[in-house]
Amino acid sequence: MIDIAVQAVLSNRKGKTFRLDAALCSKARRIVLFGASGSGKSLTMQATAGLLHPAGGHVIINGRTLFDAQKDICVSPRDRRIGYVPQDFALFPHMSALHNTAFALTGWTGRLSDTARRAARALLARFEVDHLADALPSQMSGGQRQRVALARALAAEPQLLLLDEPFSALDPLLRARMRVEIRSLLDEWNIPVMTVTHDPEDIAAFGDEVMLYRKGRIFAALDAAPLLAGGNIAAALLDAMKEYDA
Amino acid sequence: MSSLFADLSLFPILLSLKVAGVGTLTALLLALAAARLQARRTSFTARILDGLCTLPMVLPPTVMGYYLILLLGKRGFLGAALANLGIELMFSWQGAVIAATVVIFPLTYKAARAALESVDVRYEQVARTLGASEAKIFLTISLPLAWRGILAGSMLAFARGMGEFGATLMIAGNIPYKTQTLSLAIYDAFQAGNDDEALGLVLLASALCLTVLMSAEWFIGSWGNGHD
Repeated sequence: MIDIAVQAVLSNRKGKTFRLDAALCSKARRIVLFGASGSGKSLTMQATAGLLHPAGGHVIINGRTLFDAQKDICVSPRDRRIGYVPQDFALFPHMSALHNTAFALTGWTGRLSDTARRAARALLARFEVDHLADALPSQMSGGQRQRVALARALAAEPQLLLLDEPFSALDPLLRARMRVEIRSLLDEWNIPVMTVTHDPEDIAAFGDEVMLYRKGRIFAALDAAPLLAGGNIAAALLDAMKEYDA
Repeated sequence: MSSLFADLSLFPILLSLKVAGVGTLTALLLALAAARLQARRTSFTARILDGLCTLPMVLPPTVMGYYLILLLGKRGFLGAALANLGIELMFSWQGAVIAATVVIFPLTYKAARAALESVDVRYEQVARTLGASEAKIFLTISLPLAWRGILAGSMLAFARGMGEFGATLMIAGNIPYKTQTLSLAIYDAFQAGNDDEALGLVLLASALCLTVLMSAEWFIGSWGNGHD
């Protein structure tokens, strides 16, 4: 059960303000936050991970309160157990795939224990990139980096996984393939996944429920199945949006 | 040319290397701590602190020397207390190290702050979601990624420390074979009319500083490849 409400007012350097007031409550295992860029999806995700401090609202994941403005609760991101994979994966550029994956399993000096090494190797193997254990991110392809980034996030055993525009950094041909592959890999893990995207195709792979964003608000929560039934997700989405405009 | 270096005492050169070396290490440690605290802060207090950290770079070294005397002199706040413990910093090589540290601190601080701020903030954010403490993030992410810039600043600081004159003269004096550093020895030799000695020391100082700067370039260039 994911219960999130975030209120925040952000202003950029030009003094233009953006008001975020998004609320979602869902039992779905795979949730997609869908909307144009700048509609507040990524901000919702950052607030969930604890990287952004909202002025109001709450974040409750599986009954555990991570943030509550009224009760003055704000769990720090390091204790939230929320996996976060940013848009271009943000692998640590100076660490090998193995060290990246083992990061959550190492102590404060970053020294790799034998247990951590074994666990990280096993994770890399599950994502089929164990042959890259010693490679630096700069030596990997986009798809390989994505696999390592997922392995790194899952090593921390999160209770929720956040994917920020997971395929936008990949070239279009690779994108379609990775979508299918990552989906089936993540199905092996029984954790909820929240995906931010503006690509309708991502809904097919990562959405049981779709939250539609506009100007900082979620104006509709839709079941994904009917959208996918017709075969043309983009058209089905446009139709659904028109209904709300009327 | 051989007569130029024949009677040259190595003491001032070795002392300068020692003072600049210890001073650079001390300044580096202090600068890392200050830069870590100050990085990405823009509040009014942060700006004031930033100004204070940079001040020794623009103040005349003699002004810094005077402040240090007020602090470390026999009647200074710290000097009196240290004197009770039997520690005398004035007119000692340790005093020269303190003078050098203060004068070169801004160079290491500025470099460290810029280098730490150039590290993509998302790496730190992801590390936080992976359960890392701030200490772990600094040690395993920020420092390794910023190391190049920090090292460049330290090398520059070392070279600057080699040439420290004003503050050193006021704190440590100009005692041959005790606190007479390279730049003080050159000044002394020139004043005494020992032109050969002065020229020899000047050439040595120039060669030394050039070597430091060139090895810094080389070291940073070859070390940093593949880390962008």
